Amino acid sequence: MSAIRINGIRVGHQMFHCRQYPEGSASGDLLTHSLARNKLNLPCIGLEHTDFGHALSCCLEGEVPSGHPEQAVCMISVYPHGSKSATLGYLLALFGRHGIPFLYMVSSNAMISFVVNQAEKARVLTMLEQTFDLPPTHTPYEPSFQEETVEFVKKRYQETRAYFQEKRIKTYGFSLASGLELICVSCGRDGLEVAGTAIQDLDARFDFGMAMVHGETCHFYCLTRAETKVSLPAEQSTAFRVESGTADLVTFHGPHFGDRFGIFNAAAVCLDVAGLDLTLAGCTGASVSLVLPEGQGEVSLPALEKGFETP
Amino acid sequence: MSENKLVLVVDDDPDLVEAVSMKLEAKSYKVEKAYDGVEAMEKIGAEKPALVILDVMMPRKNGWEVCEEIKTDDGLKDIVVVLLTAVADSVKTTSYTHHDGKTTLADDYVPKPIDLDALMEIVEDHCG
Repeated sequence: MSAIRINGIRVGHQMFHCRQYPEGSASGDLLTHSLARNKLNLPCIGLEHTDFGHALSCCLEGEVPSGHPEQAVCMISVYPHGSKSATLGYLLALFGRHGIPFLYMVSSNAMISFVVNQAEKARVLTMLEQTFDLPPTHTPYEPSFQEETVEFVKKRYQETRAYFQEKRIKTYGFSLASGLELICVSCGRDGLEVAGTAIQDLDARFDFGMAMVHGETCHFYCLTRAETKVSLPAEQSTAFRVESGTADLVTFHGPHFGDRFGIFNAAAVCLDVAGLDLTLAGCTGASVSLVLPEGQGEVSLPALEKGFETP
Repeated sequence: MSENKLVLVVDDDPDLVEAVSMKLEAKSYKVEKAYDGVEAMEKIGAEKPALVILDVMMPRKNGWEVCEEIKTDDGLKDIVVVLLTAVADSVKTTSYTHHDGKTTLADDYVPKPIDLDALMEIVEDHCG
């Protein structure tokens, strides 16, 4: 197979990893509430609904707590994925094959982002650069604005950067995809390569992908438009659990969402007030993806518009 | 009609590049993408697009610098430049100077957060 062509690799700066375990975390009690109150930005979020509540993984900007170097993480993204399950699955299989652990993975319309320990950053970058077909002049970069521009904008137009929240947050508009096929593959870390290859072989377009790792177990989610069937080697099938169902997906993004606090939380509050519950959610870059039970996507739009402004 | 004119979309937000590109492709434009100012200049030199949709705040080289390089190069100055800017309030005209020293010779601008349909109208106005 020839190398998959992408346009770039993006590297986030060092952050620290924070996790909310599901026990007792109803949607009204999400960790994101208190973090938003404290104006703490969460550039990358993964959330899944479990039988015991919501499990949340996120990255916080700020100093890593002393004595906990294992919490130092960074976000590494590749783009664009072109909605190809082949790219998504290939990436998962790649991490599995190289035995590089990641904490969670989230996709947006264009990017697939992995959150890895800071100590693994160099290995991950080398792996990606050696594997993907990148433009000749490309170098992975850490988004950072030129100081002069930042100072100019902050001085005159403070609202264009991270330090505020409007009453109704400006967006580029909401996008709803209803009745999507939601596939969940659960396996141990050592099954990641096989699971990734199975997703790669789907040869389908995906609308959202996410992976959450809990100890040695990985839950991988993929939303596709066509009914698809994950095919695993028969001799290994007992090491995997595959579930499928249908769900609705609401996505939106907005200016500098990745730099600003409280965006995801505002969406979670809107849905909570309307009595709607998230199945999955993910944020990366300037995008927010909300997965709801089938039929609730349509209902969620007027609920979200109470907190968000569309063009 | 677009007659398959080439539009270069430049923004360091890959999701926005994707959203704008999909709209343009739906209107039969050919689309190239760049994610920072350096990559944009490389593609502008190589591909000579009819129009560039250009973000302002980007790594490596910002949109103001890219715009100036285009508009001061005899071989490129006819390329239409549409700035995407979150500081559009400062743009009184499309050839402006304000007292913080930022200037642009862009042909048009769209304030962020952008209205994709309004952006398409601007593109059609310039490429039609």
